[in-house]
Amino acid sequence: MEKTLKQSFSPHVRGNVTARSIMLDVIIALSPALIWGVYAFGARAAVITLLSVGASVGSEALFCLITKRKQTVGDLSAVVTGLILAFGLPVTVPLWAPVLGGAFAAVVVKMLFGGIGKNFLNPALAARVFLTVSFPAMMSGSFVTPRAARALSPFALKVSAAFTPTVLDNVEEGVDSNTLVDLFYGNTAGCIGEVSKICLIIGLVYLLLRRVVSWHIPAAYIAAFFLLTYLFPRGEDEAINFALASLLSGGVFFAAFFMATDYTTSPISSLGKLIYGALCGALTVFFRYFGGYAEGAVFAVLIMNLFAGHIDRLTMPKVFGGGVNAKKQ
Amino acid sequence: MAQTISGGIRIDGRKSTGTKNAVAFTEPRLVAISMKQHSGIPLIPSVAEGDHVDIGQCIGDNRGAPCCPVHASVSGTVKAVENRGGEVFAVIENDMLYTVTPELEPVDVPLTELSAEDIADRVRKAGIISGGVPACEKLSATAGSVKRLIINCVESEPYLASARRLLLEQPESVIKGAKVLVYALGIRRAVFAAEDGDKELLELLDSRTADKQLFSVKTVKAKYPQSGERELINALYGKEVPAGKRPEEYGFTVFTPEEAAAVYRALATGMPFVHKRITVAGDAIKSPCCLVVPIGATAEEIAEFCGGVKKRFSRLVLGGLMAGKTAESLQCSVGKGTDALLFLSAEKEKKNSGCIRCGRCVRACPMRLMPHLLAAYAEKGKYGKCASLDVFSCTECGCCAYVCPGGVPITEDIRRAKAALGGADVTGEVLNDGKDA
Repeated sequence: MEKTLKQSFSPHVRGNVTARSIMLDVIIALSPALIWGVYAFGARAAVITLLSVGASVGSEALFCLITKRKQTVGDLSAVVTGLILAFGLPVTVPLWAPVLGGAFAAVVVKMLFGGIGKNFLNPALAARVFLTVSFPAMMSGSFVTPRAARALSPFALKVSAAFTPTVLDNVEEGVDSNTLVDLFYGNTAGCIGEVSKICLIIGLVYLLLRRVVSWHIPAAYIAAFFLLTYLFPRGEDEAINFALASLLSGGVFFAAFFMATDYTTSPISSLGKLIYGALCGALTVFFRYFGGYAEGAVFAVLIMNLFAGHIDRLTMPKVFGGGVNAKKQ
Repeated sequence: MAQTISGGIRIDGRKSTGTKNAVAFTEPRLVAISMKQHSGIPLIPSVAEGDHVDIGQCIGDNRGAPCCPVHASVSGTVKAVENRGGEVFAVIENDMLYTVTPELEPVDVPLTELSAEDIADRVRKAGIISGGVPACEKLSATAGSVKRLIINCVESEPYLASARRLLLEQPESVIKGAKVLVYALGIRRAVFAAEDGDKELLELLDSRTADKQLFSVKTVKAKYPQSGERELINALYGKEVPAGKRPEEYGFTVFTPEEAAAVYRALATGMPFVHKRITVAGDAIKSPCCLVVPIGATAEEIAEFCGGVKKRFSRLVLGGLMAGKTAESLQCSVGKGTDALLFLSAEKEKKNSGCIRCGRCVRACPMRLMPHLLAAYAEKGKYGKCASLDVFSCTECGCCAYVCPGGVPITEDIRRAKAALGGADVTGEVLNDGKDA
């Protein structure tokens, strides 16, 4: 009858949220924007996305194999990295770009620092900056309208097309209300996954409902960005128009919802998140106004990545009751 | 309005046993009564092998320290007084005659003729404690400073339902016990705290505590670990009692319904605390239920009484699913602080895939610690850093490890850090690290 009982440490029950289930939620949240991207920009957008995801997942798997580590691709974080990288590419990039970027993100930025949770920069973001700085014309001067994009060959290594400046490139000249509506729905030239704001909002709402991310970073980011562009507008147009056009063009929504909220590279406390989000927004405006590229969001978030740890230390909450060394009230 | 703490988790209550009447299990063949029913120094057994004992007879006490005696919970013969792994047990063979000791001294004068010291002394003699510190300590050590008495009817751990059953089945004993406590503490009223979702219990409390001068009922949202004394005080009054401090120092004292009922019984009948209400549950016991058992009843006999264990039985947890400890064998017995016996199947192992810095543990921590950092430092042996992050404020509620998507055994890591910092085997290296931090 006597049976050896198994020993376990409390808690004797665990919740069912896993890294994999969180990443799956992020993938679900990204899918409206992906569907729009493929619908708007055609099959080539899908090919680029697949290559980026494939390179990211494949190189992480290969890295684990070569270094004889436990296989980690099962947590799906490499899929998310690949998706986020692809979302920031123009549809006209040569097909080696998503492959190079995906591999760079997974190996150099993530795995060499110890894998998920250990990297101090967001892998997809760092890879995007790497591509932007290395190939500026390819990354920020080669946008096409959705109509032109659908005519592109999906599988051609390189494509040539009539490039169109994005709304962001000429945002100081002012926009009309029709353009604002197009920007909101994503009927405009831009990066594959960034153009449709409504799709990104749907994704964010899903993440908020699933409690994968909190509202703090996106709200602080958008608020700071909007406030600064409204208070210090450029061009002749009304301030409110300029602020709206700035907000809806380029990658502010995508950066605020899906890049700045990356767990590993953002602060943990609510106050820290608000500070972090607001600084991301302010830096985005700074880079847009004074930087060498039209879009500043990516650089802003990447730089803020470096401060996440410091913000965490500065915003550490007070321990319950003041902690063990508390004096009597 | 239901109140709540910051942090904590919502967790499936698994309270099916709370809907059925508690059953009395009076006929264990053996009871093994521990001489260590609470932290601090152990009791000295006052019986020897071969002695005959009656129900309610004192079998162990210690004068020197804050402690309270234990009593025989069955009548019969002392079979052994033995040391099992550092803990002394008096093993009594039940003669099934249930003779009660003639030593009992019920109070036969009105309550108002007793002094607070009299009551505290009787409560001490009755050996009343259900986890935490002895009831007599809460009454005497800080007499005069306590402003609020909370009767903690919150059972936020999954499965636990025995306090609820006590309140539903014998509300009078709890309420009369609360009256005694109010009188002994020299305060005006007792506050009953219950979860806002439990309508049946709240209705009962409302109807039984009609005297609003003397009683009030407050509700908290269903959330673990709100049944903890300091968490409950925080939820109800917003006050934070720091780690290592007693609620009494801050004007609060918290009694369980079981303690209140035991106080009443000790005064009315003289019978000390010899029967414990427990919840027997889990996915590997055939008939889960709430039981009233003699203190010292063994898990083996209790399992038998509850229809036996299922084939998949692999772990026995003493106490709650979140904060209880696994037992080494079925020979372990019910102590005064054992709220539940959970017979569980093998746990589905959650692989430790590492921290992803999601911050869930930080949001879940009711003590507002940084569990992910504590675990990371503990894993690297940097215990000094853990100390500087206030590791001793951790109550080991387990919320952090429960919510961790990376399956990091955070609570276990923290426990190890505490042991290393508090134990004698702290190496010089670790201490130096602490100074740097």
